[in-house]
Amino acid sequence: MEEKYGLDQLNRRVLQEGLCAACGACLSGCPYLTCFRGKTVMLDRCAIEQGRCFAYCPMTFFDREAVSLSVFGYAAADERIGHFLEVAASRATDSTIAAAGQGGGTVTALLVSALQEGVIDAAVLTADRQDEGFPGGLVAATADEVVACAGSKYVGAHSLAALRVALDRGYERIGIVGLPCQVRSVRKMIMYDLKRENLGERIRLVVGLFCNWAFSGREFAAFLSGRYQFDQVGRIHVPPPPAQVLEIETDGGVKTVPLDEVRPLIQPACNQCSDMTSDFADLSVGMYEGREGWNTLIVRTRVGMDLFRKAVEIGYLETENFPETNLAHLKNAAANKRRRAAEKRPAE
Amino acid sequence: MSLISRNSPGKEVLLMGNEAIARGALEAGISVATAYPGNPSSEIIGSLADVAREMGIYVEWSVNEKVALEVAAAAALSELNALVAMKQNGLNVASDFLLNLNLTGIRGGLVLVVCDDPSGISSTNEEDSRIYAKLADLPLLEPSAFHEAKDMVKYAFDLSRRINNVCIVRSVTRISHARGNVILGPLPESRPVPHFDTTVTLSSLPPSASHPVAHRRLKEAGDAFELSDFNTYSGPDFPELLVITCGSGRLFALEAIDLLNLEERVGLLSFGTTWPLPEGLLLRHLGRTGKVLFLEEVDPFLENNVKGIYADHCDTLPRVAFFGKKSGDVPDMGELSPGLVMGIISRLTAAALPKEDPRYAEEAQDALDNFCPPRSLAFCPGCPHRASFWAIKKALALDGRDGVLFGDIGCYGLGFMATGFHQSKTLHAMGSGVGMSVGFGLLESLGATQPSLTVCGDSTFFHAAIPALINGLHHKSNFLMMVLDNSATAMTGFQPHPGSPVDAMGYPAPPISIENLCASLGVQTVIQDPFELEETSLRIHDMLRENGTKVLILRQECALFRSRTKPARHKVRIIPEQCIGEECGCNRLCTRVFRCPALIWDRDRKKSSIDEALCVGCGVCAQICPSRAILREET
Repeated sequence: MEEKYGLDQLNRRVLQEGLCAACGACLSGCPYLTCFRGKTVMLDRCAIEQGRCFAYCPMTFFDREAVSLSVFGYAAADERIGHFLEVAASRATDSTIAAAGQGGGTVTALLVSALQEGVIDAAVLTADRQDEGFPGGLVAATADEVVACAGSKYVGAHSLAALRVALDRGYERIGIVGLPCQVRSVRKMIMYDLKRENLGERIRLVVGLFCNWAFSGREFAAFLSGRYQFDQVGRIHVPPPPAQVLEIETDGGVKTVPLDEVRPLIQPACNQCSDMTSDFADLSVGMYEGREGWNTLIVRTRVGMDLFRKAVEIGYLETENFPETNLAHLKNAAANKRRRAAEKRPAE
Repeated sequence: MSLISRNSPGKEVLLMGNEAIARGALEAGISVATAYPGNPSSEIIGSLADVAREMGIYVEWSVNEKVALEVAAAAALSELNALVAMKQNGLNVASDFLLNLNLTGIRGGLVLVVCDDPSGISSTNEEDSRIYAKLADLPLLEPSAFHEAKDMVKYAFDLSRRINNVCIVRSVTRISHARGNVILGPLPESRPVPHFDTTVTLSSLPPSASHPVAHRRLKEAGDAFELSDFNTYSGPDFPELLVITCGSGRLFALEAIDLLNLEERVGLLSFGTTWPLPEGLLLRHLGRTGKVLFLEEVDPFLENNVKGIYADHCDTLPRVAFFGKKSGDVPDMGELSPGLVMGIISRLTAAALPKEDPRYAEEAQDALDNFCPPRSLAFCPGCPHRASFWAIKKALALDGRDGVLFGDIGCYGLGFMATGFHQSKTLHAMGSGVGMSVGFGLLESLGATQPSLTVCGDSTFFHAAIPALINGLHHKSNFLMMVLDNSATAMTGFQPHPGSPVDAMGYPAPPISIENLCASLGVQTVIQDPFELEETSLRIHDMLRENGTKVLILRQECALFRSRTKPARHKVRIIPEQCIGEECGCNRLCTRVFRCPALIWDRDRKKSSIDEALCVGCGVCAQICPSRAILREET
């Protein structure tokens, strides 16, 4: 069991090492940390010996076995795409949602279903142009608000800072959509709940996204505003290999940038991350390589399965078999990320 | 009704040392008195300013000590008597002019009173200014008590007129700020009309001509000092131990000799005129003892001068063992005190110290522990500097390039302490913050990556910052100067400065605008209210990201100054249920970090609360509470 520390150690081990994943968990209700123009900044020293910041940060420590036990009921062994109950192909049936989504609009459809069915009363999502034009966390309580957050941001956006907003507003059944690092953080929050805020009860749903890396918010914004009209930049899209490019919607049409050019903008934290498919979410969603307009959906927990079935039942989600070859390919890709991370951070 | 202007010769009154000095100047018939505020000298011109109109004299709080001396010199060159007062640092500022004025001499009378601060209790340094007398070949007097201070100043003007040169009177904190009985003398009926004799040029050139003249004038003073009543001796004709002292040392020594019952064994030779030293008087006493103890503050000035004279005459004098700072018997820094002096004399004479109740030390320590907890210096409740440094702290954190804040002198000088969140990284002399910030901002071409910034008060700005600002602008230095404009020379007692609408004597005066001055230089100047914390920290951050010389005026009235005439802005209170105090998410941000004295941590309830007696209602703390537990309501 890892020792828990405070802000001093968080600063030393994560912030000063440049290993912040910009998940936003540490910003929650802390006056000593803030997010400024896409970066986590420590404002002053805190003398608390065991703080939420250190405990919830995905980059300080992660007790795989304990989290697995807590989420799945046993210490999951699968090293590639994590424990799962089912893998399927899926897409939103509603054309507005499908158009808003990055691939098939599955995440949006799941959340809209969850809201409608009362599984959740609010969702912590990531939206473009929050503070000073940077993407950031947002609390959505209606279907329209959820749809407005659709689309991948490809940026460490400190989204979990909005969880504090949701808690303060009194929501009792919160759903969260996050990157693998954010999912891990939320699982630690539920497990440790250092201030006994009943997080295990109040957080009802965790949807994770597939992720290989995310850009640093500040550096990506600088890159974009250096080349394009920043406030006119629209969707970002990373087509499947072997494309190796980034597609950016601008007021001058879709621009293509070689990935090698933007690799320096990736958060150093991502190089150490072994989790491609958000192994600890209730449901994980990603692109379906080779099938435009569809998503890969991994169902991991009872909660996830219930929502998946409900969403299909009420007609928000359409689903098909996920072919074995594609599953093997996905597991390969996940294993590659794990291998790359192990080279950077052997002790996992 | 001021005591120092009372026309009651023969009346005995209780005066502060500085007031006695002021009275002495009035009795000498001064027409002009100037100074820049500086502890422990401020009350001299402060008390003269209060009676200026009544006495028909001109009194000025000058922009700095050099100009103060120049203004006084103009009067002294025009047949008048003029007084200039300053603390030790001020003499450093005035020294360039002084070391030219001493060579041209004067026509009227000019007394320069310098008040040193042994132990640097309220100074950035500890310095013994007496060396200037030697350096400038000017006579030096040191008062040892209150009535004497008055008489000495009066005498100094007399001497000054006679030798046609400046006379220096040196005081220390314990003389300037203590009080004693003074018998008032007569006040003059009239003063000369100023007139500058234009038939003669006043120049120190060539030094080969003017320097010998200065020496001659000094010798004339020295001859007068041989017969001066300010030099006294008490004790046996052939003392076992001769204490040679001056200034505050005299009363400490007298007290020690009395308490140790050493009147028959120890002699006390006290010099009021310490440069030039009356050789004749000195040699007479040196010939009658084998053991000498020097008591003086701060440097071995008297000690070395006596030893020099002894060396000149050593073949005709008996062997003397000298004890003092050189021997290590007296500390070579810090104030003297009754206890310290008594201990030294007791050791040198083997006289037993008076019996002290064995419980005393214990009870004293107990009282200290329970009633005098150690407290760091702090900005007053409602001080705009607290808000400014808070904003600077945040701005530097957001900036992330390890910016360097060069500090300066004033209340905001405390910026290097906890009350200023340890933001200031340097503290030297008046205006040196901006000078060094300019210098640091020029190091970019040599590879420096850290932003350069400085804080400077409104009074400091006029005192010394302007030349450095111009230097920075012209040399294209990349730095941010934040003028902390609280509309007051607060640290020293709210004296007016050129930005004020009144002068020392209370007459209306045109306020000089800092922003107009900066704008006329062509430097980007922004004005901001530091009480708007978020806005201010963003403003500082954004200015740090720009290149070049930048001025940000953080303007908000001093809380003490404001409270004289205006009511509290807000009623501030804490909602205890909202306060999370020591818990994660706060860790007592308001009482542990922000530290306004009006915020109290209740250890029993584990909540913050507001001390209504101290809170001035600025409302700034309400902006920093992470739990929104501090409520402010506009009054």
